[in-house]
Amino acid sequence: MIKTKGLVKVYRTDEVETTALNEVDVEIKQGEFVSIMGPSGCGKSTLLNILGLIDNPSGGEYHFLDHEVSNYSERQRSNLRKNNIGFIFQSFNLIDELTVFENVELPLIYTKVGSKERKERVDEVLEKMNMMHRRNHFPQQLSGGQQQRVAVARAIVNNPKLILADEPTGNLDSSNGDDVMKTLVHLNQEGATILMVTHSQYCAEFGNRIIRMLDGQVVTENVVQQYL
Amino acid sequence: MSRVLPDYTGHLIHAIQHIMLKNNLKLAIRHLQNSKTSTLINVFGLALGLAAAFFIWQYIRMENSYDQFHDKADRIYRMTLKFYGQGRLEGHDAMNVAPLGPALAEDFPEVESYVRFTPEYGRTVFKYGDQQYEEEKMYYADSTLFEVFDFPLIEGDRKTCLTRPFTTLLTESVAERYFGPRASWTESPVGKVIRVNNRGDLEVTGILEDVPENSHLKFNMLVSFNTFLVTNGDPTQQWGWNDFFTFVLLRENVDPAAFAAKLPDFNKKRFVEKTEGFYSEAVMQPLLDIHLNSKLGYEAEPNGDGNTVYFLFLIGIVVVIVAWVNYINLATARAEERAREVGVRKVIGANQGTLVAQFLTEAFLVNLVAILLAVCLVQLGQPAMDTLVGKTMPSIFAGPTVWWLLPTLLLAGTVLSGLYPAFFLATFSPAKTLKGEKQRRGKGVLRKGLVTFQYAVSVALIIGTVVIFLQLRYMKNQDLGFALDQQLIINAPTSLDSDSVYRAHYQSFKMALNNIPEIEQIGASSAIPGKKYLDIDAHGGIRMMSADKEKNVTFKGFVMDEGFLEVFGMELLAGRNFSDEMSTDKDAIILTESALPMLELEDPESAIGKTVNYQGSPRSIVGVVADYHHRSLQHAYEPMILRNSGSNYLYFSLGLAADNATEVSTLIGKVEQTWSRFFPNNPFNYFFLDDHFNEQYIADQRLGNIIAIFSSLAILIACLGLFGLASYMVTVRTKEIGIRKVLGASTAGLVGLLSRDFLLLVGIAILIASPLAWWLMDTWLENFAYRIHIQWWVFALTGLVALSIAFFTVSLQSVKAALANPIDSLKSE
Ligand SMILES: Nc1ncnc2c1ncn2[C@@H]1O[C@H](COP(=O)(O)OP(=O)(O)OP(=O)(O)O)[C@@H](O)[C@H]1O
Ligand SMILES: [Mg+2]
Repeated sequence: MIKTKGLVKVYRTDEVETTALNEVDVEIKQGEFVSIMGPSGCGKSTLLNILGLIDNPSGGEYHFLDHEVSNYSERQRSNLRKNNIGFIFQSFNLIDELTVFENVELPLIYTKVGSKERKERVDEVLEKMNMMHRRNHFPQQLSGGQQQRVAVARAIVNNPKLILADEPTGNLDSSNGDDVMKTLVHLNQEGATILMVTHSQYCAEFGNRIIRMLDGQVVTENVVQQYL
Repeated sequence: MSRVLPDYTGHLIHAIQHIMLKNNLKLAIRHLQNSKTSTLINVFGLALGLAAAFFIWQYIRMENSYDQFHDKADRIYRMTLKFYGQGRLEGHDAMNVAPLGPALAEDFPEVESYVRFTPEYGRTVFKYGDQQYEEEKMYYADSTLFEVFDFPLIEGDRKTCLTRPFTTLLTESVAERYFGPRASWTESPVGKVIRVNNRGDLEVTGILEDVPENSHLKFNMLVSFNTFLVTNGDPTQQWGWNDFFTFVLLRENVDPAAFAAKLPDFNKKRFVEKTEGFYSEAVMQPLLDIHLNSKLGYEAEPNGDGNTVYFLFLIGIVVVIVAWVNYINLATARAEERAREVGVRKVIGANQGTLVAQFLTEAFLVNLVAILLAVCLVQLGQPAMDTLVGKTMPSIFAGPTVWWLLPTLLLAGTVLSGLYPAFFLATFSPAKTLKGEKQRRGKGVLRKGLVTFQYAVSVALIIGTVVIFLQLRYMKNQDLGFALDQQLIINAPTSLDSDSVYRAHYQSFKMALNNIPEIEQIGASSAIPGKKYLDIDAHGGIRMMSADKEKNVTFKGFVMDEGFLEVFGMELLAGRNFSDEMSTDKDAIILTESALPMLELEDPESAIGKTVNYQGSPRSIVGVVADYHHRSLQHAYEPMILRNSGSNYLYFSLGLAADNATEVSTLIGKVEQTWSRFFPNNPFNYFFLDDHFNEQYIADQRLGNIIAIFSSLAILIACLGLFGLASYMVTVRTKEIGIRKVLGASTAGLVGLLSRDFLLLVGIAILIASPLAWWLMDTWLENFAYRIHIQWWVFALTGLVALSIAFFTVSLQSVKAALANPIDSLKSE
């Protein structure tokens, strides 16, 4: 599903040039649940953004679903992204001015789903995330855990093939964090491919593979021993 | 309640104390620097608004200062004349009858003095040595002039300079034409003798300063009234000859209302009602009301318009408010941005007073810079503004006004624009702001209201501008009933000659001109469409020969020769033109169509051949012409009687061939050569009628220009505000934009999303402004006898323009935001 070769990302500011990604090769297959770990500033988020088609790499190749997308325009990336990828962020990134329902509904609006179907699907995922009773609340009226559940609902409402999560549990206590992880595992079992950045070894081990990064490079990849 | 008040007063005192602190100033400057865009917008917008207001203020001051320079201005009244025919008010003229002044002085001890002015009709050519010029605006005035008025006299004796016959006062500019620049006068022009119209002499008895711009009565020379008595016949017993502006000076402590109450009896006694229903009344009008509030018949000069001044005053205030509104809007917006900072400060221990002071200091700085900039703008723009208004306006920065005006504005600006954001911010709850919670969800009602207000004002002004220019275009394109183009008009010569000699002279001049192929027709007349309305005469006591005295009516009219109708291409509805061949035609008249009903004539055909009793002498109707616009389209058609008798022509009109290829200057050269052969002692002055006729619209054109400028300013300032708000809005919504983008929103969709709210406000503004503007402009249009009716598309077009401008302004910000990389905004949390 995802395959990169020699992926490079260089940030240029006025004075300094930061190489955030340095020749990164990763491959992720359909149905995998992959965790990315590494010290702060090593390039995890940068990689996730590129893989999530939010940003373009400075060099290298990126194959996403058989498209070579490294030189795609914003519009092309946007099209691929909204139909195939769902995002979960550490800081939830819900829109304060919209209700829970409206937040979750957004991706469906952008993929031009009809309003009746939108309502059904939003209700369905809110039910699944156990947020139905809060559908008319605003994000600031919710706890952190609840907000993240809404964010997850929004990420999956379009049934994306790929879910990208950047430290989804970073702002949550361990019990709320566990809930989110369980949801991700569940989604993975239902067929979604998941790529998650995390600082926590505990969380990382919910996946089936861990990619470790350092200074913009992938150092090791190891398969998690599934003990159940 | 009682607890709140002292609390806030406390803040204020605290705030004012803090303004003084240097630390505050430093912080304020740093804050202003940090938000460069909004600071620039604030300063620039305020400066523009203030500059506009300063200009308007200057203009209003100028208009309100008319005739104030006379020491006794508040005790001077003009006596105007209302006249009634068949019991109905027929007219109200600015000029009165000559015996009125003396009669008032005789009957009423309240009258301290009076003075009469009467204009010289016809041509005035002055000659001194070999200097010869045609002069304008010569008036005869009573020797009591300086008892009433204070026109500044440079040389001469205020008491005696207008007593003897054949004496005159000259204004400085006129004197300089004949005696050279005043600085180089070795001996005074007083005592020198000037030849007038080659037939009489006037001795100069004094020099006046040029009549100030702000005098409703403007003259270039004043000849003693005694001269008039000798040369023009004695009007002093004539209660029907109203050619005399009459001003009375009431004694100090006389109650004008009480005096006015005595006038009806006086009128009954003095204006004898010879025929039942035909009588006149003298009416009092304060001198200081004349310029802005008087539009009577035969005004000395076109007066100003009080409503326009009042309207401009409103615009001026509104423009400043619009600019202050910008400050409030942007400052409040920024206040929200700074909520977190304020929260932190409060937690650390800052009290509300400190914060209020901080904001007031910023407002103070912005207002200060803006005022200074506005002063510069006014200085730079002054010449352009004077041209626009057509007057030299005294600067408001000259004189003592500036010492209270600017500080007051600064204080008012600081408090008005600084207080609201200051308290708004200072009352933020630190707990909420620190949590990042927005203050008062869904608010900004005030801000939205203010933006709507700004735009409504702009839209109304644009509609006003459009309507004014449409009306002007309509008037200029209307069929006037005569040919306006290709008319070269020459001021006719003055002459001593008898009628027949003059006519013979004119006929040979005409023959000579006929040899110039470019000239197609030639006519002569005592009035010209669009030229001085005073040239037209009004004669009362006119009725059909067979009718009773009660049917007497008053007609406007003038004298013309047979060429006039041809030159002006006027349409004969019945009968014939005057003819030089027919000696009986000196008693013939031609009516305009609208004169028929006044004489109870049915239609043009039946009028021909009938005889009119023209003030006692029989005149036969030989023709009827279609109505035409002698004056601008502001006025309705006037019924007129055109006469053929006499030779008091003031204008020769030459109709030029439409397709002649001759240079204008060559042609005029030829005409001038011919002229000097026949009228060697007369200056050659000419003009083209079309230029002249359209000058009647100058006042409206100016009003249009002024409003156009201020509406552009208003919309510019409103856009500055919109731009600032949009940039604020974009900052606040950066995260939302980023999220939406990640979720797949398109650029166009985002731009639409960001612009929608603003466009909605502008839409509401258009809905508010349109009916208001319609009402205002419809009222204005009622001033015109021939007017447009405002079409729906004016509103649609204006709305569209306003929306586009707003959309463009907001786009400058929203497009940038929509194109930005979402990662940056998402990370910022
Ligand atoms: N917009 C940017 N401009 C310049 N440099 C950037 C930008 N974004 C990221 N970087 C730099 O690129 C490097 C990688 O950043 P990235 O956000 O990918 O790190 P990370 O591994 O996600 O760290 P963390 O665990 O703290 O989130 C860092 O050195 C960072 O400073
Ligand atoms: Mg990161």
